[in-house]
Amino acid sequence: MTDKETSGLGGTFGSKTKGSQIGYGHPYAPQILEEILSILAESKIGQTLINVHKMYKFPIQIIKGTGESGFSAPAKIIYLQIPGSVKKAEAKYIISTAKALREAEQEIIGFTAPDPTKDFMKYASVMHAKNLDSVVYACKVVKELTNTSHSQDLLDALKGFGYSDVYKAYISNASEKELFDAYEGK
Amino acid sequence: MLWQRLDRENTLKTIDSVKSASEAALFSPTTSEVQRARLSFYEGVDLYKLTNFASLPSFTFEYLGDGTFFQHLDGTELPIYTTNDKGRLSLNDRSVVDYLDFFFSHVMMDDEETYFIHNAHDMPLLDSLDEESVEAITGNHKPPVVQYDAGYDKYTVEADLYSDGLLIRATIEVTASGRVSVLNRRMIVNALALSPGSGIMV
Repeated sequence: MTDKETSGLGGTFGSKTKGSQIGYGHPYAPQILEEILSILAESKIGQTLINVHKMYKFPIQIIKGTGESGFSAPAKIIYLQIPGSVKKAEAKYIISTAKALREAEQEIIGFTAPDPTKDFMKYASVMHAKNLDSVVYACKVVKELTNTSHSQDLLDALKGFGYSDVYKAYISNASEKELFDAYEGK
Repeated sequence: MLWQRLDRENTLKTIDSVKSASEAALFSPTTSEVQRARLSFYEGVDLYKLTNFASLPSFTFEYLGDGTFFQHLDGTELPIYTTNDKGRLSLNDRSVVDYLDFFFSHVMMDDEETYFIHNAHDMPLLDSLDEESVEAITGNHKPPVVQYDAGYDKYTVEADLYSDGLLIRATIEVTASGRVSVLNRRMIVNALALSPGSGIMV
């Protein structure tokens, strides 16, 4: 059984829509997702993230598009946006998935955002901390995949996301403050 | 891009036209806004951006639309070509450059993310390169040059593209119906090779 079959959580969505004829489902979703999870599983941290995903059964939906990917807390779904022409698991989508899986895990362990209407400054501060945490998890996965054939593509993709400073700080065992400085571009 | 936020009535109308019933949470009217931007190369068709702020990262979807019919920009050329075939495309020596800028920022060609460089200072990853590489790139960049072939009713644009760490001078053909073909590519600068100091080596 594949990861998708085991969890029953992968695949396309929205091929039929009410109110519009737009099909958002990605035509190659099953194979891309299977490949992404297989590569992530080569890393210990990646495998742990996948195990949590399987245990808590939050779906991963691949939709066509070029926008942001991530975990939707209200919907309890991970959405990966991947251009419709892409047929394989490219490095940037592996990183996006690792980051989104950690965002989902944050929700499970109670690392959640406060109500922005009550204290916006606190909300903003927690959101930055959550984002840095998920970026660091993506860096951990990349570090653990150093000696694989995916390594250089993953490093290039990290650079494309603008996470290279955080990665450099992470691999040099930076403190939490140093990681935050790197995240802020200081 | 100059974005204009739609009023509530038009926001709801747009969401109703593009929503997916199976994934209502992504298109929730209470947590979403819709913005619109004019495009110089279309008549009566604008770029729409739907953003759902319910979670961070906020999810965005972009569409080409006339207020009633919408084409979801899904990373392929199909929605753009479908819109063009409705007879709304209007190219000239200036708008063809805007069209290519738009095209390359919304279409992944040959499985490669390729950026059309209108201005070298807008180039992606510029911040991650060292000073020497930035100078090499900006010094080698030339603005797009447009030629119109009236016989075949098509444009040929010589322009810089950036893909996979390479700055490339390409000849791009654009037909009257907006079909885009990259005819040839010539490497100008290997930005990543120039920039070992900025690499994130393990």
